[in-house]
Amino acid sequence: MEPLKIEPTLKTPYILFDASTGIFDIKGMSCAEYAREFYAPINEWLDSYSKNPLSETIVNIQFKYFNTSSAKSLLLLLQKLKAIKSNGYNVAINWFYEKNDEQMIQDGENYSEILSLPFNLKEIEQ
Amino acid sequence: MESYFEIYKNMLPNSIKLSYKGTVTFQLIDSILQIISSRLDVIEDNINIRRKVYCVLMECLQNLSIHIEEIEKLPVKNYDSTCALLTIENDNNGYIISTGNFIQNERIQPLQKRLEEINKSNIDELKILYNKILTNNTYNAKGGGGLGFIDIARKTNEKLDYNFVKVDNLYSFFHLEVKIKKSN
Repeated sequence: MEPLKIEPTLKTPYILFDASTGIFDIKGMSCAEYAREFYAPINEWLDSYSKNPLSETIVNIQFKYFNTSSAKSLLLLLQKLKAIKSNGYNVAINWFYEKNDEQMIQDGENYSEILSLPFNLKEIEQ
Repeated sequence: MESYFEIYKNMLPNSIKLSYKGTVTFQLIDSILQIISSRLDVIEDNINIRRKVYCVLMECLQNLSIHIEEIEKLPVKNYDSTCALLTIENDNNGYIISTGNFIQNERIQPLQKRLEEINKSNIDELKILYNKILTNNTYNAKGGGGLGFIDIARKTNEKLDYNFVKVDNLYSFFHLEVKIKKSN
């Protein structure tokens, strides 16, 4: 399937989901007022991918900020990744945070806990 | 003429004060966030506080823009009902964000109930409350689903100060004050 590539804007992140390598990158700001509209096509793409995923998928999530409008859509995205893992495929989630960004660490831990999905919390090297 | 210099002198050296009355559009939110972000880079050394003020301000403003949209349908007599008033400033203890907007009287009770619940919750209870709303399957059109105030309370670790002033039989004025303390 075609990779999903979305260029970043001031309020929405860079997205590159490559079905041929299984590497999915989300990077930047997620502060759109209508975040659901932004994430809907991404979640649809994931639905297609999940029908025939690679044996290993690596997801790199690096937000500078994400607003509460994004939070539910992000949960849905992560739930779809969890479903892929539950079907027997390897899914690794790398959750990046800036040095001393306790809030981002907590958010990563929270999602990991809610979903019972292990996250690798990684400090961004400056 | 009141001495403007007196006002200036009485402000802290590394202070910020911004007030705005007008409609809260997405473009306005972007502009205010940019202004505040630039000023914070100068006056606030603590990166966690800078982040917190930015995030909390964003949630306050986005929340405001959503609620003002509801008012546009029926204007409030004698007032510029689609306009909100907001102020961002700081003092020795930290930063204060104040917002004021009109709200239909019928919406006060459910809002007050939510705010009371948030204010009586400790940090662990807030997390449970946040996750409860995060994981329920309801979405509003904007996707936040009621997380905004809880998120503000969690990030600031402070009670949300608010009041409602009755304007007429249909509307009141909702004032919210959010504090981001340096010590938290």
